[in-house]
Amino acid sequence: MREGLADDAPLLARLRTGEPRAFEELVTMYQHRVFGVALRMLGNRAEAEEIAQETFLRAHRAVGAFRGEARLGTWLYAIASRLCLNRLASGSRRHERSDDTALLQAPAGGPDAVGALERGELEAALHQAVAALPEERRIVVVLRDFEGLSYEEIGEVLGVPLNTVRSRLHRARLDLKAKLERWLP
Amino acid sequence: MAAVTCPETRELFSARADDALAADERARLDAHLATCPECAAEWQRFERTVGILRAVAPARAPDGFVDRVLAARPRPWYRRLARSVFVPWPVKLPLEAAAIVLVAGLALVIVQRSPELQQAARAPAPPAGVTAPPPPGESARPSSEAPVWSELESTLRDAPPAGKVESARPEPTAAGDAARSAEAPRIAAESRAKSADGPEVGRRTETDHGRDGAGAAARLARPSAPAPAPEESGAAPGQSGSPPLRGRLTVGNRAAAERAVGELVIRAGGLVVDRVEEPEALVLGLVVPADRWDEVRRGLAALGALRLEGERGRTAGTLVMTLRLER
Repeated sequence: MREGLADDAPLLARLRTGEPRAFEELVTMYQHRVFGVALRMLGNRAEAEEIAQETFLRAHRAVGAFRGEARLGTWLYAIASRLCLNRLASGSRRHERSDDTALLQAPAGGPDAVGALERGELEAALHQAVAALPEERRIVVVLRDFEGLSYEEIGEVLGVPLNTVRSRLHRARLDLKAKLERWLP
Repeated sequence: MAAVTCPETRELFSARADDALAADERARLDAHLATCPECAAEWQRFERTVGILRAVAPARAPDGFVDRVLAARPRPWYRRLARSVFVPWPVKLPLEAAAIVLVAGLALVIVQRSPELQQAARAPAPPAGVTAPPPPGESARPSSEAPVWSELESTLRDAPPAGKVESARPEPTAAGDAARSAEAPRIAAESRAKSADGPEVGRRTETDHGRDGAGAAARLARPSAPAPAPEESGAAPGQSGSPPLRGRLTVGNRAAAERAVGELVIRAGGLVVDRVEEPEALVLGLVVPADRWDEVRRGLAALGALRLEGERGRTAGTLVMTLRLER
């Protein structure tokens, strides 16, 4: 993870000088990942865009105080995760979780390819299963299995020990396995 | 290598799926799965679950997301300042016009709701007796002298604004006429003083009589050098209390004589301030600088048979005269 810090250094330096083009590059580079975290956590596109936008605006304001000890992506994931968890905990959500099963699109083919109908059903089941996860487990699954972060990065994003990351991830996967039993061999 | 139990084995599934086990841990786990069909089946389902999760298509931010973020980003202070100073004209002009209209409207509302401000905005009322205009109908009286004088008086006077006319004007008696006549020279002098400050008299005479009023009024307003104070000279009409000078001019062609009189008076720096047609005569109201009176008198005498009443020796100030043109 640390080796990526050097890659971020030039962009970070330009961001610190307030260069508008640098911020645009940052948003362009990380927009899909930040939006993806918010979408999978909140289950609503409008609310996900709102959170993703707020993530970048907060980064814009705080980049001067960012010490550069983590990768820019990790930092953005941390901001987005915190905003999502705060939104879910606040109980004042303006948008309910959408029933749009396309939010979690299963692959069209693969070693265990299923028919289109079954794929649709699988997407719906996956959507409901993820939504039913406790939030602290859901964020770990999202960061690990949807976004591909390492345990260490997840610990850094969430500010929790590695054992906590492992434990939450394992419990979340077991919950999902139980809910997706129908599509499992 | 110590054997692991089924619960211990299943606790390692996540780490196994993420390939995060140490070599020896993985070897023990694989050995257990090879000998335990239940754990092996459970592992297959677990691995399949993780496979489904990882196969989910990555999310994509909606179109235009970057632009919306950039638009929502707060601008640096120097850009905000520059934008506030250099707002494009198509935006700035309507804003400024709207601001002017708003301020004007507010001022109007404030004035309308403040009687004190309305009173302050009005012109101060002239003293009683001077401000009163002639009662209705008086100016239409077919007299040869009083109406002319009345019109002259009202012409030279700075009339009060509408609605501020004094109602205590005395009836037009002979004594009253005499009193007004006595006051007329002073009014004329006041009008000269006012005309020195502004074009009020000149504008009015020009409007009323359609002659070279502006220039004549300006010349009339110019004090006769050296102009002593009217009270000191004792000669200017309206100051001395003497009635206006009256004259009769018998001519062959009244129209031609009228034009000649007008040119003569204006040339002398005076003004024809009134004109009343009577069956037998044409009555003109003249105002002439006193120091040019001799010149005017000679000119009038050249036009026809001139008879003067009430002529006095005046060398300064303004002379007011009613001239009857008769055949």
